[in-house]
Amino acid sequence: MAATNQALAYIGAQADKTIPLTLLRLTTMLYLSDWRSALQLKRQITDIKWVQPFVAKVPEIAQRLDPTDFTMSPDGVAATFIGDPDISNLPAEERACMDFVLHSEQKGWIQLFRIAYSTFPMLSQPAHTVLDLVALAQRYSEHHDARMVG
Amino acid sequence: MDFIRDYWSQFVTGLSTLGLTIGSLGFSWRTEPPLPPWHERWEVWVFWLSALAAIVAIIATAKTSQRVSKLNAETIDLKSSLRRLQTLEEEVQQKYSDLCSLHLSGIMRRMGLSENDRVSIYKHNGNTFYRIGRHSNHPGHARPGRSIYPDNQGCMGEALREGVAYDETLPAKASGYDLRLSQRWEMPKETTDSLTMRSRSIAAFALQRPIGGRRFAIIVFESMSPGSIDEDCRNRFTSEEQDGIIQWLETMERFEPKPNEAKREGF
Repeated sequence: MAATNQALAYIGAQADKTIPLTLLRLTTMLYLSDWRSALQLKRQITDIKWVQPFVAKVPEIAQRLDPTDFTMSPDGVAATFIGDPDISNLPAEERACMDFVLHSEQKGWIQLFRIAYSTFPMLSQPAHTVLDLVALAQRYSEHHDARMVG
Repeated sequence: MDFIRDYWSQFVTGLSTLGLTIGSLGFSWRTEPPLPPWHERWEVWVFWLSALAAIVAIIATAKTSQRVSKLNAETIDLKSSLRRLQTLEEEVQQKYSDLCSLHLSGIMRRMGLSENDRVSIYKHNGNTFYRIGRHSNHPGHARPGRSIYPDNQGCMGEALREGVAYDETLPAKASGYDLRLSQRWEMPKETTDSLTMRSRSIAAFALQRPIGGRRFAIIVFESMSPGSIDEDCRNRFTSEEQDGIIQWLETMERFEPKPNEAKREGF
């Protein structure tokens, strides 16, 4: 729970401020951070039980935003980060995964969103399935890594 | 030049203020009669020219402020339009799979296939296929299955090379089924064992780019009814149907899943 809140705060603090931090954007970056962590570290950063599609978790993410870190827009669509991110408990390698996602967003939010929908869990699992990102990452690395061209 | 264009009115305002001050001081310095005629008094000229310059500068500044307000309003409108466009793109991206499935269901119906049959679309990326859409009303047949497929196996590989590939009646028995797929399309047993649908009749068509004619996608029709995807059925996949799905794919290309891109970007 604490790691999820800290991860949300970290993303909220570091995300590009020139575009609104919508719940969809926040959820997407959190999902990609967890997927990247599953690929690199063989574990998730958060305790979120992701499903296919990951956007189904937007309401849960909204519920888990700490009011001391975030305020919501009147329409409930976007959040503004107001706190100091307490990341003292986040391991450096997990921060690196989130930094990777944040850096990837510099190429464009819509492109990042499409990439999220193109990840292996989204393409290989039926709708509404609960995703074991770590197991899927292992399957992906074993069977697909060498066969995908760049 | 830009600096002069953007700030001349403020500069003139400053100068006219100075001129009005100096002119006023000139009036106060020379009060003892006899005073020369007004047109010979420098302070009169300085004062009134400065006043005129001030009026011109004030009007110009007001007009600039008006333009700036208008530009601000336009910028806000543009940002709002951009946000709406982005929201629309997000919604289409989320609905791509459903939209694709809807389009494929229409094709399946016009082909005369049953609801439990299946149609899938695959794109080719160099040496593999990846699935970008699927439709079947049967939940088991609609499952995603593998996400990538080698292009040297299966009916898709043959369709890519030859334009079309089909087998109207695949064997019912497992051993015969596995043997046929292995001999015909070099599919290994472990792949055949993992199929989400052991279809008994199958046809795959290559789709070509309208410009250049390159084969870029494969559409695969599958049925559990042996003999159902016969010549009559295949002929219902007319050139008009092909053009329709090709146009749809090209129009929606920016929203289709791109697993290669995800891999390249580290995801």
